[in-house]
Amino acid sequence: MNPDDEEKRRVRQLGVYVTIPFVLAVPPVLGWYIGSWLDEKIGSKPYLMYLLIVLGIVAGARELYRIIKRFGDET
Amino acid sequence: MKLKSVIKSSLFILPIILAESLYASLESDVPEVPNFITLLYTWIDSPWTAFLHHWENIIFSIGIAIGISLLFYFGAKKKDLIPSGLQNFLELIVETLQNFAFEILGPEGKKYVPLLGTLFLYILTMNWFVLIPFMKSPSSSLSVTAALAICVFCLVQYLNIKNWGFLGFLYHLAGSPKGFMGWLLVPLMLPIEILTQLTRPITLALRLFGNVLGEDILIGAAALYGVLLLASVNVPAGVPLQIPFMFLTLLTGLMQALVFTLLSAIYILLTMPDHEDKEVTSKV
Repeated sequence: MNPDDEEKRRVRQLGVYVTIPFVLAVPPVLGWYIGSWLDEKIGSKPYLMYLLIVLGIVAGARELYRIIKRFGDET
Repeated sequence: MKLKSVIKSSLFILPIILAESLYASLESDVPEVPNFITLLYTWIDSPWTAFLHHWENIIFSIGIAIGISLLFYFGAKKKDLIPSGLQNFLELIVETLQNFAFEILGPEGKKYVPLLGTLFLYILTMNWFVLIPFMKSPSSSLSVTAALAICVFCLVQYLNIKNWGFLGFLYHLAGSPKGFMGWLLVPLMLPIEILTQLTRPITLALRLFGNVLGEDILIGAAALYGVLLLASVNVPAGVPLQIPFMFLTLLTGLMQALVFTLLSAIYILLTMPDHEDKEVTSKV
């Protein structure tokens, strides 16, 4: 691999890794919002909220896994 | 004679106004370098300056969009076989963006070069606009970045439904279940996948907004301290402490624009069935 490509890859990797905090933090918060909204609608306070927060954490972890899978070993 | 004195006095007044609006930004929650609209607003108190001040992000972003469009319209008007000057520069940019799209999306990337290229150039210009004195990055406002992210989100969902079909897309969202265990996991996988899809535009918008706003605040705070340093000796000017952070802005602005485009390209890539299959199999 020529050094120019290598540098491009590094910059891309660094850029994508900057997203990781957001990828991990946003889904649980979104799950919390959607869950509490659904709870208001259905009247199942507070179980859906808890469930969706947990699912949000799982979704964030999955997305993190995908990002690292795609960009981590891009040699 | 009169004109001369006016110019002379304005030379003294301008830094004072600048310092004043910097001090005013101390009291507001976000210390940003004042742009010319803020200056107009603090200088002239009238309904139309208030209007401009209220919509400053929109005005800046529309201005940038018009500027880029005009640049490319007039730059591409001359179609020399051997390009020179502006045409050469623009062709270099377009070629780089084309290579970028091909690298990620493969030969199908040709369709998305206009979208991705526009996103990249627009965001890059918006991020770097704060470096021009009396200007502001409109991408430090969440509504501007959210608009961009929503555009990408709508396109991706449209492509999803177009490429997979509506039911196929639902099946894909459910994690492509096979066998009894797979179908048992559907109630769990479906919300997770929907959450992932909904998270993507929010992540895009928040990251761009957060980074650019942080950079702006950094420059604003540094400029403010520069002014405060000389405030005790009653000099209406400042030490340009913000210069090193401007170089940082060059770097982060480029990187944020690159990442936004890159992630949009990847979200588009994930809508193509064959690529998704490859990813799923390699994951298991």
